Amino acid sequence: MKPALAIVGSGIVGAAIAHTLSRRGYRVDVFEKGPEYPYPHAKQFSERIQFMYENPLYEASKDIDTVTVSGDYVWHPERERHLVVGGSATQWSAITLRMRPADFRTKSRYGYGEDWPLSYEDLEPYYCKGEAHLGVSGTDADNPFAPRRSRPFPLPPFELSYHDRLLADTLRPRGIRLHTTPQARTRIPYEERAGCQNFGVCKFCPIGARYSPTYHLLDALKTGRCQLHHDVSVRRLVMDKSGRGRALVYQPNDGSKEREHAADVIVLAAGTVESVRLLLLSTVGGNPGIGSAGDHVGRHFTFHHLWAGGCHYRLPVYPNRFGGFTAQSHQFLDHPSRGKRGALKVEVGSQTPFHEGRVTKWGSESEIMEQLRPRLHWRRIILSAESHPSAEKYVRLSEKRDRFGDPYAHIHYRSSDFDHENERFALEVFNLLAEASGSDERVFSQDTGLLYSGGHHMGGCRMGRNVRDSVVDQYGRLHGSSNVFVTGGCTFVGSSGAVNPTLTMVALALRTAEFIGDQLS
Amino acid sequence: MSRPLRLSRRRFLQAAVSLAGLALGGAFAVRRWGGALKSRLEWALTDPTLGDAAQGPLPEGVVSALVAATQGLVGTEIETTHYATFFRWRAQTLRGYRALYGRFVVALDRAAREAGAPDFAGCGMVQRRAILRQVGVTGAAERASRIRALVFRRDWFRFEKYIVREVLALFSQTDGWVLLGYESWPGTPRGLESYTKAPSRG
Repeated sequence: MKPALAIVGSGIVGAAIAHTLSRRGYRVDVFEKGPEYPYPHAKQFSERIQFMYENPLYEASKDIDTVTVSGDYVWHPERERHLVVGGSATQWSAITLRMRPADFRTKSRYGYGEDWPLSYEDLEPYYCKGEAHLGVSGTDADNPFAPRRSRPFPLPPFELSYHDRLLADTLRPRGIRLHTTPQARTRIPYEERAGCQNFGVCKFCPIGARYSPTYHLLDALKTGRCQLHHDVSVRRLVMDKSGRGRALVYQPNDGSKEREHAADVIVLAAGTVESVRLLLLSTVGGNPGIGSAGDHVGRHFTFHHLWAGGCHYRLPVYPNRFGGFTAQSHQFLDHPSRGKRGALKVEVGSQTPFHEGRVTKWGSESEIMEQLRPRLHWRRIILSAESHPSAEKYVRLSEKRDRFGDPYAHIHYRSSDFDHENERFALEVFNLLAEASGSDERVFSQDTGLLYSGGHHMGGCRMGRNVRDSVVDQYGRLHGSSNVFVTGGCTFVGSSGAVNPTLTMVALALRTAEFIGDQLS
Repeated sequence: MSRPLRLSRRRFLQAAVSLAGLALGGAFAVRRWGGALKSRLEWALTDPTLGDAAQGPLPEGVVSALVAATQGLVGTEIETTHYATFFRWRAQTLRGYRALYGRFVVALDRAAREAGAPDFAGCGMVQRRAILRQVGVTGAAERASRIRALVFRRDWFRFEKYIVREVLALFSQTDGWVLLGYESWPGTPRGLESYTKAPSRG
């Protein structure tokens, strides 16, 4: 009989590994803390968008979904993830960018952060596989800053919007380039997925055009070798004295009896914070915390730092005519002052907050129109900055406990001098864009001093060459263990430059799945 | 016969200072927390729960009256199919709505008959708006009528929260966009061509 795997987490990483290995003939059990979440997400779309109803069935209870925070991060990190079958990527923005070669070498190239134990060239074939897996639409033809690729994008790009083109034409003579955005939305039908019809509320895409991990999870279940356990909390890993993983201990969220599930290979794919927490909750040889021989679990943690700005124009720019993402600029990812400052990504967003199906306390129709009308003239610009870990950014166990009596995760996060320098850089670039584009009024969230992670939680179980510098190796295998793997953004060495981390997470997951399959066979 | 109260100058000053302190403290407390307390009280009184009545299909007469109320609230010609679908779904799916919609329509019909019309759906736009204003659910209700409603007709606060506010929110996410000049609103399949061209209605 083929060996059996247990995967903790059914999100984009867990689903990719479950899909790959169940199709290779292995038995896979996937454990998900959250509830079922129908796919395609037509039901959620109807409820939220057509009927403005937030279904409590899809909300995890607070006493299993809390993260305590200290430092200067003011948001709730648990609200930046979704505990449902399919995980956070059931509602993600689906921007799928490759890290740049220099992002893997920031220490040797720029003198900050650490180098990864693998290079862009090592990962490039898996970026191609990841793009095929997610169904990425895109082109590099209009992006002079894109890294080398060995295969074209699987799907053609989403064009710039009419107003993006006007903006791009205005900015080009001033030396600023806008280009299209690669994204896991189907520009045309792909595999079993319908082509995008621009419903414009992609968070709840009703037809599966925007990629959702449930697509591959369902395909894995169809093999008959994959089983999904939802509404269960994995509480710890059971290790033998040699450091080999033997089983998972999990408990249904309804409070029924704790159970043990034996496995030949254990994969943690529970999201950055929860994966760290599970390592800290587990013991080996009676010592608390597995993978902690080098005292690296929970350290080397970081967020991306995002700020949203708004530019006002005299003529209307009609935001939100397309629900996905159109214009970006990667010009500031590898800018000449990198080293002193980090990479910076610019997104020219078109979303407005009026389309998420929430009831707002409007007084009258005229009041609504009065508030909506000015929005036609505002363009949202999102700046996303690289960050890197420091002693003031870490995940540990909290003093507070969940319904099972286990400590929650606690994040301590304080911006560094490098981060403050990046803030200044972001404001500088924002002002440059606003002035070059003829904006007559602008607001920038930096004015309020708030940064947002974008839901990009990275590090905490970073990969490296040995137990002295890291928690896992370049395949995600826990140092000192032959069969426990940790996957996802938690294994990142830095913050994936300033690009969205998900495609890199998927590329690494597919590489890990291939490695596990090869080892087992 | 009672004896006159005698206070030493020292005691008198002590009492006066204490009273002044209390008055100052009280004033500070009212200033600091009075607003919150008042709004909390108002919220508790004017934010009743929906109730737990069973879900079920909505009679077509009720749907027609709700759609007529929607037109009255919005005050402009709009496509109404998605509002009717919205009301039917809520009545069928969520507890309390079917009964609330029924009571709302009874109240509107009563007001319409008092105004000489056969029922609310049979009223013209001007009359519908007048009735909605009269019963105080359009948000422009005066303080006095809100207080009257608080005492005699608590259902009006339910109507405001669970019907009027929801209709206006739906409007803001649908027809509001069309009135702004968009071809259609997010949530409808808009295709991948039109966003690359200049807005045709802009």
